[in-house]
Amino acid sequence: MRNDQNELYYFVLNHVQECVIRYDVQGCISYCNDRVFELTGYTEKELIGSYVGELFKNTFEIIDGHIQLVKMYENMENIETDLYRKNMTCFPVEINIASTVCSYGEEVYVCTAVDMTRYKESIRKVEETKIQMQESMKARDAFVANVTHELRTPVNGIKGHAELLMEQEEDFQKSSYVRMILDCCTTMEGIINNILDFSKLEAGKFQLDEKPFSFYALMSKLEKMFTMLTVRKGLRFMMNMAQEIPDALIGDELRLTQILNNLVSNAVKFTEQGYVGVEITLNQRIDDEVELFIMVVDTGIGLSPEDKDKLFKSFSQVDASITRKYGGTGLGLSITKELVNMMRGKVWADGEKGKGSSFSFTVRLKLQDTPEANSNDANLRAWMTTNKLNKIAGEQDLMYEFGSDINKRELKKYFEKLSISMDMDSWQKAENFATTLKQLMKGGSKELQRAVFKMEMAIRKSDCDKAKDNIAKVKEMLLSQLGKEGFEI
Amino acid sequence: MRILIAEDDFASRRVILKFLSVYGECDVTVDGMEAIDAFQMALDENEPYDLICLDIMMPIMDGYQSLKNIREIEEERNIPEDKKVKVIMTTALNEEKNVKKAYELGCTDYLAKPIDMDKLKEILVKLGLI
Repeated sequence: MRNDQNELYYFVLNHVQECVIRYDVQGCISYCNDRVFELTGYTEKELIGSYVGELFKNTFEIIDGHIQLVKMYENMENIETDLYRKNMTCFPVEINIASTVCSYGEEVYVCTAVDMTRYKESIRKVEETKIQMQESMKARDAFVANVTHELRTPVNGIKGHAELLMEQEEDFQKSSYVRMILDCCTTMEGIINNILDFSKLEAGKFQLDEKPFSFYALMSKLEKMFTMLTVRKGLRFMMNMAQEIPDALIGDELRLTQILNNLVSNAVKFTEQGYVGVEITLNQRIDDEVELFIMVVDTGIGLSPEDKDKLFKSFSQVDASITRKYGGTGLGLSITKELVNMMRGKVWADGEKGKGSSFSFTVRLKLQDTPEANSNDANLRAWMTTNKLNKIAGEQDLMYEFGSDINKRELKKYFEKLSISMDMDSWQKAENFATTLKQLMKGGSKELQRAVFKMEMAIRKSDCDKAKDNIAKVKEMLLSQLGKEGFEI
Repeated sequence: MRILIAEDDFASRRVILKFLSVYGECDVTVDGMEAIDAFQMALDENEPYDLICLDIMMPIMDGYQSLKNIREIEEERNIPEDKKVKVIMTTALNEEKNVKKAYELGCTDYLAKPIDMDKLKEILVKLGLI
């Protein structure tokens, strides 16, 4: 019975993953399991009676005739060392040592060792991959930075010469072509700058250039810029600012402009009619800092819940779907988000499909430390618009209700705008007005809509005579459908 | 010849319109949905288009979907093979999979942007349109 048990124990011992070695207080080996022979190439004869330190070099030492782990391994739970083969090559192992006093009074040690070769190998591979990845990221960043710089040069050349041409060209048709080239250059420059900013932000190389500036001077400059931007598309622009906001602040003027510009241009892009508004309020004042809350609202296409999640991710617009829902590189908003984060703020989007959207963000700016800076100069704020944004909200729905008074008023207005822009030969504007008119007449009969579509196509061709014919037809149909009373177009 | 151009970018639209106006009567649409509307309208009025230049990346409906619908409408109306409209895809997407997909959906030819006007002319000759 006892012998059976022993046999079983040895069988188990010889078939475990670990090497099992028993030795005495002087390190003299008295037993090894088969695994040791298998892995080291030694025979039983060679190992029994030899010193355990021959197998694990630089691991043990004998002090006062007593075997101990070298200082480096003292008190360590998992000891990582090497196991040496007969041919003096070695492989990494993790060892564990237990000691006990036998019934006959002798102290014995049992060392178990696990082969770590494969584990080490995979760790090394992971690290290698990590390094490779970092290197390729670096290479990519360098490439992007390089390419964008290289792209700028030819654009600069095109733009410069187009400007020269523009100055010399007197023929209206030709100069309008040149203007088109210049517009395309501006778009291209914008895209290149965005990619460059994005690659810098990604690489963490981006730094804000914080300097004292006049907040109100900046805002009035922006107001002019945004008004131009919106009016060009036939939209209204409004800016509202809380009077408590101090004027003398410290921050990165250029990047603040970039954030606002991104949001406002987006709003303009997605709004066919109505208005774009900017509202700025003071959130809080902490010590020498102010937190501003800035909201950009529009009456455009709005956002679906899925859009909201995707918006601020980079490249989210150039995702799998080919349909160009939003145009552009999809970098604008992710850059905006990064910039806002750098100004210790947050950005978020709100809105409903078809009911306009609003983008809000907060930024923290330092106050300038001068006595004048803190005085409240009323003149500075005199330019402020008196319009309240919410007053006009809600008009949007009525505008589209075919035949309503507001709808009629808008129709009249846009027909006027259309004919003026046609007279002035600004066809891009005319196209926008025609699109707005199409939307205003969405509720009309099928015949009317077809006529409007034909009118729109004629305008896109800049075919003045045909467009005028078509406009006349549309007007005639409109009058017969909506009645002539109080409605002159 | 009646030509329909579907292209959302103002500048590209101008260029191709200017070029094609020499060869025929052009109509212009700015998205895939409009292109289908215009196509259907022309059929209804018995003045079908001979050629459509179709961009792929467009708002509201992309060129693939638009092409698919156009071919479906032709099926529905039993338009004979030789009377079917010639569709040239004009797009910045020039990867093989894009080209393949367009041909599978039934385009007649494929022209990658930036558009080489000489090539476009070649295609027009090849298709027997000019």
